Amino acid sequence: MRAYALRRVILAAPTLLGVTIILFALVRMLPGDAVQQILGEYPGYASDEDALRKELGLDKPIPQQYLSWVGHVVRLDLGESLQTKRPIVDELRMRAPVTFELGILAIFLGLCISIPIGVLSALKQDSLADYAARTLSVGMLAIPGFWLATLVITLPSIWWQWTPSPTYTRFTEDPVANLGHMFLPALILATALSGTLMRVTRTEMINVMRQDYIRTARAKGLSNYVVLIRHSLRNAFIPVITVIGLQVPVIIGGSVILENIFTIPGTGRYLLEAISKRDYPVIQGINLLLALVVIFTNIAVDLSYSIIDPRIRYSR
Amino acid sequence: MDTENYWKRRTSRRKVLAGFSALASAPVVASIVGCGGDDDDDDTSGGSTTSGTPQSSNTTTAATPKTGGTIQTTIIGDPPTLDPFLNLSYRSQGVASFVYSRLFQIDTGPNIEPGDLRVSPDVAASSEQPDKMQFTVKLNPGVKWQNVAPVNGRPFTSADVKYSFERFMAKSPNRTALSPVTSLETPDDHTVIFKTSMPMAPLAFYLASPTHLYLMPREVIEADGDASKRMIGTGPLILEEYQPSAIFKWKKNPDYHVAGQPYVDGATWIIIADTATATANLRSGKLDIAGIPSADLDSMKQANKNMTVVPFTGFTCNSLWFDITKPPFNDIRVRQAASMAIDRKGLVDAAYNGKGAIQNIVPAGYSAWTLPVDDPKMGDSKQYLEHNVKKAKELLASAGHTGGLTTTLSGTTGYGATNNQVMELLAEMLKEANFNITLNMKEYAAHIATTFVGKFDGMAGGVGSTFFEPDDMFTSLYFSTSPRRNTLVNDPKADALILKQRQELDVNARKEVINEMQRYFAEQAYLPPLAAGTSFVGIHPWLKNVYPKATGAYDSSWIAKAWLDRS
Repeated sequence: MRAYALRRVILAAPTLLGVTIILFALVRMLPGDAVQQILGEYPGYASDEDALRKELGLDKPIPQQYLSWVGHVVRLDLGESLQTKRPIVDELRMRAPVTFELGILAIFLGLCISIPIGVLSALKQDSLADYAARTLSVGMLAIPGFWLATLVITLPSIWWQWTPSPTYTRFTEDPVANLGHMFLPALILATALSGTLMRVTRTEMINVMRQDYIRTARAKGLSNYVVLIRHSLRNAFIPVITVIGLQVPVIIGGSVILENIFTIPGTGRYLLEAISKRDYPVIQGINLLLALVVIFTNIAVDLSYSIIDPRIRYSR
Repeated sequence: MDTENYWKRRTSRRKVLAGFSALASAPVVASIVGCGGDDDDDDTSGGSTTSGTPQSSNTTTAATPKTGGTIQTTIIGDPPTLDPFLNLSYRSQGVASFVYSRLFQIDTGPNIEPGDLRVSPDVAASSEQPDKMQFTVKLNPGVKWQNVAPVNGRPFTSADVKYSFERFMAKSPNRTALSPVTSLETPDDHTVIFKTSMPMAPLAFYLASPTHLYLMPREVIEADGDASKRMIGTGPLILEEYQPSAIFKWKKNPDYHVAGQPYVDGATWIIIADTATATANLRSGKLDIAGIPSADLDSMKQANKNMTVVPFTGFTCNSLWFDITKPPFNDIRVRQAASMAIDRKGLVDAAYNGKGAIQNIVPAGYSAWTLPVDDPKMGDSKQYLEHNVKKAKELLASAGHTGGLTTTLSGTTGYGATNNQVMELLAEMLKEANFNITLNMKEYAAHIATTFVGKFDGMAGGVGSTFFEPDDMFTSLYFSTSPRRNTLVNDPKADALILKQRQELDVNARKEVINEMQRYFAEQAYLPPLAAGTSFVGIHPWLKNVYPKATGAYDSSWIAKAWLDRS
């Protein structure tokens, strides 16, 4: 398995290289560039466009800019923001853990919601509870997170003059206040995730419950709990893990909006601001980080299969 | 088509969209007191009345100020930099005004309207003008830098003013305003003499403006290269903590030069990017003061019956603009036709829910300088700002466009739903006057990089720039050498008028020149003005002695006089 993991990590390198090329090219294909943006908003910022382009290192040929950027990236230097002049690595060091925490909380809450309901729905197939659960899951998938978030903030303020605290507190400063601030956005992110997971859990559980080994387990006189947890759920869990891996980019995308609405200083807010200002190094840096997260999440998902199902072995 | 019915239909659609946008969009609200310049937004505009004296109740109390407490409010996003000389964003200027003093400040008080930008001393003790080319400022000798290393509370002197002025002239994108200053002399520690190349009527205003000369310490800038890493000044608050995208925390400067002020122990500025979130937090009382989108005004008043709501009209130059260097818009008749096609009252009714003001060349927010469109002093020029489709068609035909003029109207979606509505309405109005318009709404960054700086075909329109002095506005938008001319105006008469008003030191005489300019520019229709919505600031009853200005989030120096009484 170690060799397999190593092989996957090595194979991630060309993927990452492709990501850097696509990122670099796409960002520059956006209409309007950072120089025109800065001078448009603040004439007099530099003596002229050429001077500012030179100051920002945007006067060099595109391939040279790309090689220079990649050269710095491999040394873990993502450069400085064109707008704020602050080092991007410093910003990400501060913000990435915040988004990471939000994502982990969302996945945790998503599992807490979806697994019990999915299992219940499978056990009570075609009952009223099953229909209710399936309707709920479709609803969860259909409701956009930004809309739900706006309602969660706005309606309590109208009905009871109450809103969740707008002040973000670092986990290291006050874990309770931090989790209190993160709970609602994580729950909203978890909602869409739960809808998908609930449906997958139900389907897989129904399949597994029809397998011969479940009938055998029951015939052996095992308790319902053991049959359900050890034999059914564990076997049904592999597709669920796969879906979680596939949902990571969705969670990251959702965090961009929710971090804005809930005043969370994560990478999502940083990305949104950078896009609106055509801050190329920041856009590239964040997306590279997100690409890394997605690639390594998928590797982790693959490796987790063998932990859940001992029959799965990664040979050389 | 029945015009009246048409506009009624547009209004009702607007109401539907307004309700939706409050839930779903509103991306760019300048949070505390409305909007700032190029970041202008839709949802703080529209509302109850036109600008006026702040409603009294809680804010005008004459009771003895209480000390203590922390004021909590919001700013919409991170400042691009903490150094106000490096970026003109209202976010950079707004936070600077907590920490840095200016020679003068914009005065506030119970009987001063939000749009009345009269000047009062900040670190200046007095000033005099011995001749037209010289302006002498005596500094308050009791001013000290904040007791923070490396300045450690040392006395503030005229050398600090000179250093700040020289750095401002070297760095600030706004330096053109003070370019007539030829020298700054400091005969002693508490005297500063500005010598100018021409009489300069708005000089004192520029020294008070929240977008110009902040007084900053040499020690910090020499050590750090600029003022983007630390903020140490002579202002009422000391920066305690800045966590990007989260919060600013400020504490009281106990050595502030105004005795007893600031009354509060500190302030918390929460960075809330989402309008609905900011509004909800104001409604729930978690924010003491913030802007209110017009769509939320009624629910806000219902939930907070004792809240003071201050309406005002801002200084943003909402207008049409053209590339006048080439056909067809180098023909004055075509520009006049476009101007006369605009139903400005219709824009107020349909886009701003009837709560706003028709704009003249000098926007309505400049209560001291604007000439109402229907004022007799507008003379014959009034006709160019009146809705007259028949005349517009005639002018267009006389310019050779008998079958109509096919062109593009560019704008941006970046200013939010109200501006989008304005643009849609404008396109419809122009179509009625035989302009065959294709509306081209661009994403904000693309708009700023192209349309906003004059790189576009046809015509453009919507939210424009914000200026606090007519001189700044005229110089930036109309002077032939200005880099900010999005119309590329090059008119010797315009240049002469701009210089004339700048050099006229008598206020009434200067106003006459500015009236003449409004007539002239209305006729020339270089930038036909549109309309402006009213902005609203909500203040909870426990926050006292706050009188918002139309400078909005650019200037936070009101904090020094504010106090809290939650009893």
